[in-house]
Amino acid sequence: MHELTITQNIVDIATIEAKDRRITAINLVVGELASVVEQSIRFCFTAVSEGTAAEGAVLSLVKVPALIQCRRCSCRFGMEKEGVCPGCGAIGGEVVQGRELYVESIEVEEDRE
Amino acid sequence: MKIEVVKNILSANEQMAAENRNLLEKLGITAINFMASPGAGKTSLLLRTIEAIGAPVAVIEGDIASTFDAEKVGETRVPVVQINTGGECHLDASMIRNALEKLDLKNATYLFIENVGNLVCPAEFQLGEQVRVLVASVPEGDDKPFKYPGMFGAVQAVVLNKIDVLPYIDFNLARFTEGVLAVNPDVPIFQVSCRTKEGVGEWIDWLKKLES
Repeated sequence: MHELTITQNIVDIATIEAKDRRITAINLVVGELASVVEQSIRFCFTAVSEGTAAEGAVLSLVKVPALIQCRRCSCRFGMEKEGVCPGCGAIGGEVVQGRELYVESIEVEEDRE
Repeated sequence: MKIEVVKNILSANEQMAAENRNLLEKLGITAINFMASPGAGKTSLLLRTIEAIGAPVAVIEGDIASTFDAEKVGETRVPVVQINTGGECHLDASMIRNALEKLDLKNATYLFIENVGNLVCPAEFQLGEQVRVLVASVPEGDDKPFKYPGMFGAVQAVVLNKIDVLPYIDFNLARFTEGVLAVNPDVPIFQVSCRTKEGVGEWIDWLKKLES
């Protein structure tokens, strides 16, 4: 959702960290529950990064699967269980993984001597 | 050369929301973010709440267009500001910051923020509120908690409005409740009718406890 704003934020974060150096790669971590469509991010990135230090950078997305922890038996399970704990059959639980949406690191060209 | 960053992509909004929250706390104001589908009854609930709460209130209205809601609230004489996003489908912290500068908060104990009608996006954007409330309604159907777990899981109270039409709609209250509690086990669910005022008292009691 809102991939254009998200992509703009990614470029802003990366260019601030890069401090005028050219960015060669931006590494993202995106959780399954972050409601982000990879294809849309890539599409927006081409447009948004144009004319910035991030233009041409390789965008990589590491996807993190959702994990729900059962409140009754602490079993952890994924979205494919449709909210039903495979350990004890209880419905629902706490989301302990899957909401991540962050820039993990960037790679920049070395400063020339 | 690799530079470690580890920065949330929505951090700019989170930062501004934190600043809004600090400002409101310093003023002793309890801010509540009301979210719902279009037509569920956010404005109606606000009007019933303003009528019954017995404490000074200020309101921020959010819509893509029109000032209808701010006009209705304005008739109650509470200070109100209307935000028209012009297309953005949710309010964000910077819009709230701008609105706070225009609002007379001198005497307010509560700030009610009525978000844009939308069951998806508002859940992702902190505004600086203390509490988030979802207004669901009977005609929307009892399956909405299953279809919108992000929203139902992100709030501190659910108000189920339009219970006066339960006799005319296929709405299974037990199924709705099960769906809500599956994603939000401790959340209170207030069954109300803004039209008949049924159930509004319990909702007001809960709100009053928040402020103290």
